[in-house]
Parts: sequence; C-alpha cells; structure tokens
Amino acid sequence: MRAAAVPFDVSLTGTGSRLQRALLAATLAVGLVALYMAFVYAPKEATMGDVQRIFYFHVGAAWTACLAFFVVFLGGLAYLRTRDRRWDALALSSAEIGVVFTTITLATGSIWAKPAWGTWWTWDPRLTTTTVLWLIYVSYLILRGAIDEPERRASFAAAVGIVGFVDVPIVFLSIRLWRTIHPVLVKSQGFDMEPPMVHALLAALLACTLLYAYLLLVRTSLERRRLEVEAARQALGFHQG
Amino acid sequence: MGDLWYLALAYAVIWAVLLAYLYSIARRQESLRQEMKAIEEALEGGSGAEEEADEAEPFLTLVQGEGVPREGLARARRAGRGGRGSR
Repeated sequence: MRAAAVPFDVSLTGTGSRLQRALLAATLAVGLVALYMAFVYAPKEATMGDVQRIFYFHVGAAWTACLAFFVVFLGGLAYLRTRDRRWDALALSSAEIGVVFTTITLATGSIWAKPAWGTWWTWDPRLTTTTVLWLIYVSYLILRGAIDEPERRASFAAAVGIVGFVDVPIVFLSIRLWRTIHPVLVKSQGFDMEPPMVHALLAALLACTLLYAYLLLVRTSLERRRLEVEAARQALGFHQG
Repeated sequence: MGDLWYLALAYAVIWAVLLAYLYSIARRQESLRQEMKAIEEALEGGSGAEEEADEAEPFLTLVQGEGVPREGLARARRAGRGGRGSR
C-alpha cells in the first residue's frame, strides 16, 4: 500500500501555496514601497531628525500585534464554542506572530527612546502596559508547552487568549488614561503629522498587515500539518514525540 | 552616536527578529517533513514485511529510532482501504 492511500494528508505541498505566494509577492512589493516612503518620501522631522523614521514601522508593528491578539481572542472564542482544533491552531499561530511583532515594537521603541528621551527604558504607562501584553502572550505560549493533553491545552489557551486581550485596549488608552511622555499620534483633529508622514505611516501599516497575513497563513498551515502528523502517529500507534 | 546609527540599529533589529522567526518556521517545517517521510517509509516497509512473513521481527524500526507496533500499521492500512478515518 502506498502512503498516498492513507486517509490523512501527509504532503507539505497542497492547497494554499498559491495564495501564500501571492501574499508574499504583495508583502514584498508593498514593503519596498513602504521602506521608500519611510526613508525618502517622508520629510525629516524638525525636532527629532532622522531617528523619527523608526516610528513608521514601530507603529506598524504595534498595530499588527494588536490585530494578531484580536485574532487570538476570536480563535479562542470560536474554539470554546465549537471545540474544533483548527480554531486553536489559528489562535496559536496568531499568538506567536503577535509576540514577534510586540518584540519588534518594544525593541524599536527602546532604540528610539535613547536619543529622544535620553534613556533606553522608562516605566511609562504605554511601555509598561505593552510589556505586560508581551508577557501575557509569552505566558500563553509557555502554558501551551506545559500541558500535554490536547483538549485541555486548547481550552486553557483559549481562556488565556480571551482574558489576555483585555490588555490591548488598556495599551491603546494608556496614553489618555495616565500621564505619559509617549507621543500621542491621533488627536481629536486627526493625525498630528505632515501629510507625507501620514502616507508613509499608512504604507507601513499596510505592509505590516500583509506580512501578518502571510505569516499567519504559513504558520497555520504548518500547525494544520502538525495535527495531521499527530493523527497519523496515533493511527499507527506511534508514541507521542 | 548619531541619529543614523539608531535608525540603522532599529531596522537591523526588525529584520533580525523577522528572519529569526522565519528561520524557526523553516526548521519546524523541515522537522515535520522528515517525520512525514518516516511515516511513509514505515507504511511502505510494513506492507512488505506483512506479505513476506508474519514471524519476522515484530517491530519495524523508524528512521528516528522509534518502534512501530505491527498492529498500528495494520490499523493504518485498514483505514487506508476505506475503513474508519483517523480524524
């Protein structure tokens, strides 16, 4: 009997790869345009100088992290409602990508803070709540690794993903709720920037969102294959590895 | 240190974090691919062994060194012939 006759799919090539390639091409194209706009098209900021150009992808990464954690929240709700492990796979993939983008946000913010504020780090409300957000989702990933039983792992992770999302609006509102030295980007009149800077920011937001979509597709596909291999191992009577 | 140094450092960090994540995904994909290959080999090897002799070695050895119980392979084969699915 050939492996192809087994009722589970054990190939890594399959549906979704065309969409992945299209998303990768779009991400690269928009990413290059966004980099051009951040470095060339957007004018030099009068007070901060060139270091302000960090801001475009810093904000893009922060936005993408919030989007990723929103998907974790939705995936958790959907899993608890349906008990379908595909939702859990989506939530896990999105949490991992969210942690990557939060890491970028914290690192680039810290690098920007040194010339702007004269220090690499300060316990400002925005920085503190963002660090708490990072810790929540790192804990989410550690928790998953600590529970062996798949159903229990998925249920606990869904609960953490749902409760953890509470910190996202707190991060957003932190610069309005408490006294802060963090710049306020959006005011009641709109963006507090020159129009070319707004265009560069929008391009960076789009590039980061496309990158997130691409990574989510790749990571979810990997997780789905892992579940298939797990099912194959169980059918064959292999030990869990 | 000038502004440009911080700018370069920030973008280097962005690329480094993204590339490290892509590398980790690629490694996991490769590990999964090897595991799939091992399963396929076990299925193919198990089929031949069953036809040749039932008194032969009771366990087939996988590439990664794990034993595959004969009954597990038989169950997978039955499933492959249109029996119950694994999911």
